[in-house]
Amino acid sequence: MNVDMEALFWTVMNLAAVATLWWLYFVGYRAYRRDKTRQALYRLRDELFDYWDAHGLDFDHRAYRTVRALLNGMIRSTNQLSITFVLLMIHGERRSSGNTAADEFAQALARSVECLPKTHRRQVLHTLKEAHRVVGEHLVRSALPTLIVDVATRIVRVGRSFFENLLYGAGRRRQWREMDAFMVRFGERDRVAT
Amino acid sequence: MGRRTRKRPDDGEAGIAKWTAIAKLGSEFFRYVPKWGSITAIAYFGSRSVESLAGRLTQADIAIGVSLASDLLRQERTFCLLAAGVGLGGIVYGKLQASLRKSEVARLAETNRRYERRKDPNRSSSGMTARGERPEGDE
Repeated sequence: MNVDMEALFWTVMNLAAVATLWWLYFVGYRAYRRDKTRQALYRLRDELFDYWDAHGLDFDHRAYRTVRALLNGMIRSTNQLSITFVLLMIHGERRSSGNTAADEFAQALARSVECLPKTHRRQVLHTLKEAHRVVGEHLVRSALPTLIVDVATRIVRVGRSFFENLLYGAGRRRQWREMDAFMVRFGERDRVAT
Repeated sequence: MGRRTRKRPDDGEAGIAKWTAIAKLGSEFFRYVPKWGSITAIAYFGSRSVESLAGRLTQADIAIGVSLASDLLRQERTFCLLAAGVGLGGIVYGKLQASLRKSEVARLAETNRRYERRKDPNRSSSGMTARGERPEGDE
């Protein structure tokens, strides 16, 4: 058999590199993303626990129980959460007009939170908002197309901030003043010449 | 006479259960199809490329897309690009994992520290940072 050994070598090497990239994204990155989201949710749950403990609040309060149950559900379902899952659930929610579970949960949560004094209510709402932010971030960064858009946006933002700092940073004020003074003199010289 | 609203099949608990099942199925589909589909495609293009190198396939046997992929796979230049991607990806992945591990250490250490301080107010410390790193200026 007459085989081009060099071409075969590069084919094998390229296949190994592609397989490594596949592993990095589909196994490594996905596991990282799942763990990262879970860790952020654990942290939120810990913070809520600490807050409740520090203020001597009742751990059997409905607001605490409801938010904790919600965080536990999020932690447990992190591996299933995806944009497809959420879009289909929203679609199902809209189609089922008599969906009482979501309404009941929202009402129960609102009622239980209203029982709390204003400062504690703020903490509970903050925890809920943060939990939604964490899950939203997970949804965006766990799918390849949205991840690419997110990374590109971040790169653009970092680049813009770098150039803005370069042009208008604290150290540039004096240089701008010097350039302005030069421009004024330059303009006046032109006026005299004409 | 009031208009009677007809109950839709998606209403109530049954509707929620149905849509939860559909959502799970859809989510699994989009999770596993790209994952196993891409590795199948890699294996397919790889095997076709090797077959054509061994002379078992002629250019006429191979579809244009496969031929293009085979040509790309044989090139040293492709390997340079892929190797750069693997290297960069590996570094980023390692950094992300290290950062995640340190954050987890910080989260757990804080709980442990608080618990121990309750039991032992004079508890001594190694002086390491919360993330498990040596403090600044430590040699």
